[in-house]
Amino acid sequence: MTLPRLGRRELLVGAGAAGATLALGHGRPARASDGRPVRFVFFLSGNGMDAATLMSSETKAWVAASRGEPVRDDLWWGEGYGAVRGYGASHRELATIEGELTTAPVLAGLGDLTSRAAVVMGLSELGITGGHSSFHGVLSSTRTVRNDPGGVTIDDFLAGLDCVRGTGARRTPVPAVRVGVSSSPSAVSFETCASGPGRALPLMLSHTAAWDAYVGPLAGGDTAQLDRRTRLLEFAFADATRAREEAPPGRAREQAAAYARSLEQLLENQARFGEVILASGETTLPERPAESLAPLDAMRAQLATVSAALRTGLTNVAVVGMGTGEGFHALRYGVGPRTAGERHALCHQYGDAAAADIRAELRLVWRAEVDAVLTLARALRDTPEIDGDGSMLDRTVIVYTTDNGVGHHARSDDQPVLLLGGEGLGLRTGGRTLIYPEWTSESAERRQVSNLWNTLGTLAGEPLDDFGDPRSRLAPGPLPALVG
Amino acid sequence: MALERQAVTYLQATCAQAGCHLPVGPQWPSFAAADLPEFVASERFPQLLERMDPADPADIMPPTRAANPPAEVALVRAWVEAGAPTGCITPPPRPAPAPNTLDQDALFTCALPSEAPPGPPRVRRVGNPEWVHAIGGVLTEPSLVANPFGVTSGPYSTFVADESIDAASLLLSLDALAATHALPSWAYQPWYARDLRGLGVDSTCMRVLAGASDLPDEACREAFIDASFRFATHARAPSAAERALLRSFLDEVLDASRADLEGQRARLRSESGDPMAELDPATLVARRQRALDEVFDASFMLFGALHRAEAGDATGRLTADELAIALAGALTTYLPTGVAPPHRHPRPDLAWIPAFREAQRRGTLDTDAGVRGFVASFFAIASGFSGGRSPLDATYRAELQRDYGRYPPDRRAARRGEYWLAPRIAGFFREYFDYGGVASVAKDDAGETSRWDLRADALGNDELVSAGYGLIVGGTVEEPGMVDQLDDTIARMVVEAETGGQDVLSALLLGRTYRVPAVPYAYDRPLTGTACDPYTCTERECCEGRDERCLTVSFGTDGRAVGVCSATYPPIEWFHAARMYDVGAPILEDAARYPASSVETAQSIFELLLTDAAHDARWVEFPASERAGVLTHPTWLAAHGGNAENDASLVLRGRWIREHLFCESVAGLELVELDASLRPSADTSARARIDEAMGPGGGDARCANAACHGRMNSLGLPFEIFNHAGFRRVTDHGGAPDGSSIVEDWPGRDDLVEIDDALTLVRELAGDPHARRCFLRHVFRYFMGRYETPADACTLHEMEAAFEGGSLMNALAALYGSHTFLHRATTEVEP
Repeated sequence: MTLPRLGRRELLVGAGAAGATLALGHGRPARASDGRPVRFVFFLSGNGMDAATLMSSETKAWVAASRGEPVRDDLWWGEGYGAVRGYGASHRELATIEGELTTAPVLAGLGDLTSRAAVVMGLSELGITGGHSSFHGVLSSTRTVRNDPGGVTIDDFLAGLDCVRGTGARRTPVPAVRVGVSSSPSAVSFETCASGPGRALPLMLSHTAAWDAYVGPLAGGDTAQLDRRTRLLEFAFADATRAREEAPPGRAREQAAAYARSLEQLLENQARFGEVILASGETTLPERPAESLAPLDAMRAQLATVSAALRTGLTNVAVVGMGTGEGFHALRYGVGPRTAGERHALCHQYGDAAAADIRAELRLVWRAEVDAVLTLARALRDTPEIDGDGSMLDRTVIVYTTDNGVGHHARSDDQPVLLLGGEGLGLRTGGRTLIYPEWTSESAERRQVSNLWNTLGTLAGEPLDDFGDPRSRLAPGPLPALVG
Repeated sequence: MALERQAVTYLQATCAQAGCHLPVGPQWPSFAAADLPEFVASERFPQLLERMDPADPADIMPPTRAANPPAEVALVRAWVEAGAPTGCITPPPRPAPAPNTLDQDALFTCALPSEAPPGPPRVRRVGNPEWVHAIGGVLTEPSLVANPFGVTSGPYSTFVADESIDAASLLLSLDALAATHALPSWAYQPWYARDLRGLGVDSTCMRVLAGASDLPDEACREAFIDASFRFATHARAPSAAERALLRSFLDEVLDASRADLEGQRARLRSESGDPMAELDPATLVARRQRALDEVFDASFMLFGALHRAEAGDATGRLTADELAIALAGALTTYLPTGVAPPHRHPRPDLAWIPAFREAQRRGTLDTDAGVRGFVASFFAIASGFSGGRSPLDATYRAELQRDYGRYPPDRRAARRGEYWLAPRIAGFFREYFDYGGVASVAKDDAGETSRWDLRADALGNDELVSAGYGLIVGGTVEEPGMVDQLDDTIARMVVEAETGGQDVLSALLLGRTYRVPAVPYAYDRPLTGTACDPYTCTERECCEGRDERCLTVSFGTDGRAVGVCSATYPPIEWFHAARMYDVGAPILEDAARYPASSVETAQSIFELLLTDAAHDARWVEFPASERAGVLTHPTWLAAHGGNAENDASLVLRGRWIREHLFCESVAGLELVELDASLRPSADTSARARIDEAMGPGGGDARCANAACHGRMNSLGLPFEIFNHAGFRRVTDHGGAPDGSSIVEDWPGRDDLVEIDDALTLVRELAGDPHARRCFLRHVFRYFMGRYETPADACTLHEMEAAFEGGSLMNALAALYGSHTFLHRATTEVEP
């Protein structure tokens, strides 16, 4: 697998990005590189959403004024609006709207977390999708081709940072917990996360398997999986040690030694897992979920596992995919009579005048997703930080977004995002809605999802300007409006 | 000394770059620190400071900068003023010679063939497909292809020598391995679940292992270990230490399994109150299966399962097992284990194994001459291992079927061309011409400036041309994608050249018969309605049927929409799927031949597809005035094209030729600090934009110097008769398409080379001796998995002699039969 070829112009853009790093460097507050915990949670709602459901009353009023016609209730935001699209042709600068977020249909449950939330709209990542899903595209800001991710996803990038994973006794044994819910019968999905070009990472799709892998050992239950992996690693380490000793001096010996070192590192992770188990005695852990659950209940179970993994220090990065990739097709949510049917068919009827019941039920689904994320946020808010200063939510950024922008057949020209927590890292939320100029505006203020990922890296303590595919970059750097 | 250390280190780091002043290469002088005394003593030395800080900015060195930092100029000035001392310090190590800076003539000059040196001993880490195939998987299963072994440090996927496995990759491989056991059998089948007849494996033992009632005895356990090594992980017998280690693990796991089951049984009897209660047989079998899975996983974590030695015996001669693995690696990504992959038809690229083992048994392989005889037959197309022409029956493209997934095979397989090359050889062309990633290069307005630029179409059909391109570029479940189309095109070029005694390189650069996509039968059914004119008849009243409208269902050769009264809206972008080839009317599969879906079977459809007239019609011969060879094929052009039609595609295309047919380097971008980016413009051609940025009076003309764009642009301009997606232009921003160019630095030619367009360029390249040798250097790199060195001169010389008649297979036989390949140094030496 070769890395994407960069043309001269892309490199020059990259050089520009480097320049911007220098220019911006002094203006940035020092962030989380102080050895204190830093956490990130990514929740991806598969196959896009109707972003109008994230709009507060004030946001809808602003959009209506900007585009000259109201936000309609009977269409996907992003599909079916005809030639006049999005936020209006005159919208060429970042708009900040102070409003009551709980008036947005799917944000009604925000309650006491309203001031710790922000909604971001108008971010694009054009070219990463054009169908039902961007697959790894939304988290990598690159294009996935034939299941082949185009680059590392932000979760893996962050999980690889010492300032996120921790060092010494604070190092998490699991770099990232990745779980999901899918209508696919597969045990894992490789359609959402990646460690680099062509290197997909798995989401565990079974909520019981995820519980068994992460919570079970903490709960004093079955450690068979953990033990099995340790046995394999010990076996391979013994063989690599043998190979190292038998190899003649030179490259072959170095290769065996490198392999032995890698095995040793993973054995250390296994050992750290053991230490976390010992230290997790006081933590409230979820019960093992039932084997067969409806999709939204399975999602809640997966989030409960993520919550336990974060609160015990098993990991500092988590991804939850709700029907991401191709996994959305046959999801039957069952929140009402219409959602007894498969999601794909319902989405095709979403914009039909007579389909108010379908729209209502799908909005309940998005509401349920957000509410489940809020449950996680509250659990972190109610858990004191490891060092006793504030709560875990203060140093956790939760990102709720979709894997396909807005609409059912999307083109990632508008990626709605809900952000929660993270004030202790410097994330500025405040119950605001930020709307960036849409991609067709040719405004210099346009920004991409990659800029949001740059923001997270910067909050983590790793100044980041150039995440994603340089060939499609509009501007380097983070989103200053979210930092402060 | 500090001044000398700083100055010479700076000069080496800044100037001794690939394409510039390396110790070996065309740009004298060398700026390697160890070579500076020679330069200091030369008459050119006084120019050093003048070039670093010139009066005329156009004279600056390095030419990739607008100005050198004052501190750097001051450092070198101080060193010069101090008398340019050299020799007071131990100079830093010389930068390694970049492969493309080696003197090509010297590389093909063998002074004493009898004294060709042995090759380097090495350990090759497995690659991505090798790992998938070794564990019994298919390349269409994402969870398996997600393994981390595809990452290499070189230009080809075969550059895996000296690689090891970092912790992150190891973790990923463990996850991939763990995922295998939940896969369906068509996607993954471990070796012990396959047909082992004729391999000397005790079937009773295997039944005991797979069952649950008995524990395998001593002999069975040993046989399992032995078979695991021979048939799955290593393609050789285990060493004593390896055997002992895996045996110990097997015993431990079986004991644990037995103890686990005994515990479960005791609990069951206790809870039921029945002292004779027995566990469900399915539970017993599943537990045994988990135990075997664990041993299977462990066997694939052995160092030797992930790293394959090519070290030779005590004398340095490759062992028969090493030779078998290396030869297998020339054709396929399977190990030569003798265990058939789970596939109904024998793979032709593995069919040589019995003959190899027979030759080994007879002692034929004990001599180099014997090996060379076998290798010559091994590569010959006539033998049927390395390539050929598939019969139109159920064995069609048997080398592909396993990786296409389930059996009966999916329909794309039947829509491939009948000429085939062994997967590793096909992989060489895909990687050499570098078109495998074509689908990752997004194209805006794919048909722009071509005949299929439909922006003026009253129905607004221009987006459909892009949609048709997008549909086919990555392939779908119905029709092979652009990579497959060029794979098939190349296979035909090579097979016909090899069997017809023609020159393979000329066939690749000048062949005009391409495999193009058709409209699959499933999508041309609405054509049967009543004709109507979609430009004038957009409402229902034109059609008689109650629910019918006049819909665009296809497009004529002029791009004009064709309408039919239909109640079903067809996916009309299919009719644009072959527009990049500009082949006139779309090729349609004959829908009438196919049964209704309720009685379809994949096998019956497979057979129908092979005999559909469209199967042959997908082969199209292009006029010599339109296209010739791989470099004018839409797939190559699109893979080496930008996002927009007037992007700098010509730079990408020119660079490929410089590096892959001239084996020369272009200075790296590490030091580029000039603004040579093309200005945004929708109104000017790429040629004009390049001129604006780099031509005389342009933004920064220094970029066009002999180290940088001067080496790329002139070779890329001829391709401006095509757009970024490989469509032939009919206009170029108000002018006629212009492919003219003057190449100033064509290696081996003293004169300027005037080129009319891409078609004349490829003709020049096809007959060029320098390009021919460069091609062989890339063959060497891919198949040996390393760069050539001066020590390989005799091998390259032999390859060239074998390639005299144009046969690539003869050149490969020379490579794999060479002394340097068959013999390895018994001590490690620096190349």
